[in-house]
Amino acid sequence: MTSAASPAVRRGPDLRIPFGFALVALACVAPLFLGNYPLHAIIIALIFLLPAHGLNLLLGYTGLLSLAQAAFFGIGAYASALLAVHFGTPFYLNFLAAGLVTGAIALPLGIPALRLRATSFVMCTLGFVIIGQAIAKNWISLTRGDMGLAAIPKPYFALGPASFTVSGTVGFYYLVLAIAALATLAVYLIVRSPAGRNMIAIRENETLAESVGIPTWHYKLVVFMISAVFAGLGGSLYAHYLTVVSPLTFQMYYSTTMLIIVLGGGAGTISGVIFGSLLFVGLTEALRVAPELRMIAYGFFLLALVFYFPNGFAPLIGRFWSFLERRK
Amino acid sequence: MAEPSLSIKGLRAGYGSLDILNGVDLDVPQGQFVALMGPNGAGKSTLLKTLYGMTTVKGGSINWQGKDISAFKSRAILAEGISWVPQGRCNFPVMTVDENLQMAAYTLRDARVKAERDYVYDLFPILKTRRNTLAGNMSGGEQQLLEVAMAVLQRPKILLVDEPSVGLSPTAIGIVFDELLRINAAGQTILLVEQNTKKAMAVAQRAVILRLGKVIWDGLPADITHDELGELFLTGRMRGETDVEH
Repeated sequence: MTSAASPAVRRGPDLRIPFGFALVALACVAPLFLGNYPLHAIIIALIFLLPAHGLNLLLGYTGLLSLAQAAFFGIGAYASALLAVHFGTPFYLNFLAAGLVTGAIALPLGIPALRLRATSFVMCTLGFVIIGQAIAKNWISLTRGDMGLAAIPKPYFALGPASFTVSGTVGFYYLVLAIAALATLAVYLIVRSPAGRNMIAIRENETLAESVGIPTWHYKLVVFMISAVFAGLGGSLYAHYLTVVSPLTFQMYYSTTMLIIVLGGGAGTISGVIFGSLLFVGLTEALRVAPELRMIAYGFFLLALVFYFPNGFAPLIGRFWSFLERRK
Repeated sequence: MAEPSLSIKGLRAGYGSLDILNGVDLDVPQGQFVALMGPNGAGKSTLLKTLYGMTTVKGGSINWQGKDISAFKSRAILAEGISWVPQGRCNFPVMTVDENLQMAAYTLRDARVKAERDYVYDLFPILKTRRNTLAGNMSGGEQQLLEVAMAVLQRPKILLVDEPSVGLSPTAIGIVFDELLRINAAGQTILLVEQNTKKAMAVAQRAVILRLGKVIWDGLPADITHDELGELFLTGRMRGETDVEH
């Protein structure tokens, strides 16, 4: 972990907040000059940002490598879809329920898993994804198996007599943008709090953290649950955006994508993860111009990343901040 | 000798099903500087970890100021006035000296944190000059001092120090041991585990030798030569003695 990348050691005026606002402002006017397709890519990037934020809290700040994000992403997507399809509940209820359900499921999964050390923990989280997919495939009476759940309504808000549906790409873009901004703010508040500092202490030296009296086990469990909630909320958005969920929502693909976003962007930094999700989703979309070479090019890109930016892009972003600060 | 404040009797402990300590007996009176030595795998570090509640105790007792603490967890042990300085570089490298000390004060109330930090800075002025430096960017000796400071900050009644000389230059080792001697002179009880036997014997008031999870020698450092120490480490007995292991 480079020092420039760690928020625990940042000093002086924080330029990231005004810059963040500028970025949000830019994002707000983006639909004016972006077509539907780039907007779609950004929507996917912002949806992926949620599980990536969750994984960053777990991996980047607490030092726990988890492959379970796809499982929680899927659980969130199915929870939302089942509620919407069977009970016709409004979007915001499904969205909140998806977060609650994933958090609640993460508790009994986290208790045994977090007792395991390093590699065993990773294998265990991988198991959650496989089990999740098996359940989605085989509990046909609930999930309709491989048929999946279709016709999930677009987000629809009802407040008293007033109601409206977010149907178009632009509408959904604003909805996802608002949620991603709130999630980013939440992560920022968590890592800036004393709890965030304790998480970093656990990441840096768990034995020492334990020996100074930090209840490391409780911290790891709570962070595991929070990261699951983020993944679940992302899954819910995904279900309502694509309007269909299937056992494919439980693919390892999502876990590895989250991992690439966090590690490639810069574990332990918020701006790195935002940059990472835009970059890697953007890259996947951009490479569609050469479908037969797509995954090969993606692979080469990852290799180059590992060689030239072993800490992800965060140090680069860090240099950008200090450049701005020096110019001030 | 004063009443022992720490009294270990027949202590058996280890990790999981693996037993490392096979009946350790040891009394440490208030204010004493005890060096715990022995060959690799003797159980020195395990003894310190056991005192700090980080292993599985299988039998025996650890009496600390009239209380059996063998079933206590680290946090409760810390509250009882026992602090542990783990082996090797054991700080939070991406945090500053100040932040490291703040983490070390985790269990203290906010009002006391500043006071205790100032107390530590008075004790180790060199750390005060480095207060805004990242711990990971300091020299090994400074980091070791920081680690001692992090434990001393709790104003422990006994300080458990595990191999402070690991990876340090001779000069840095000298500084760290001088500091340990200084806080011991001010009344700090210290139980030190050390591989550097020369250095340990020079500073400690008492030498305790552990082999295969048992205390095999206990006395004044002046009463044992380095050759005899080597003999004890290798064979478990002194030259001319009959085998004491069986």
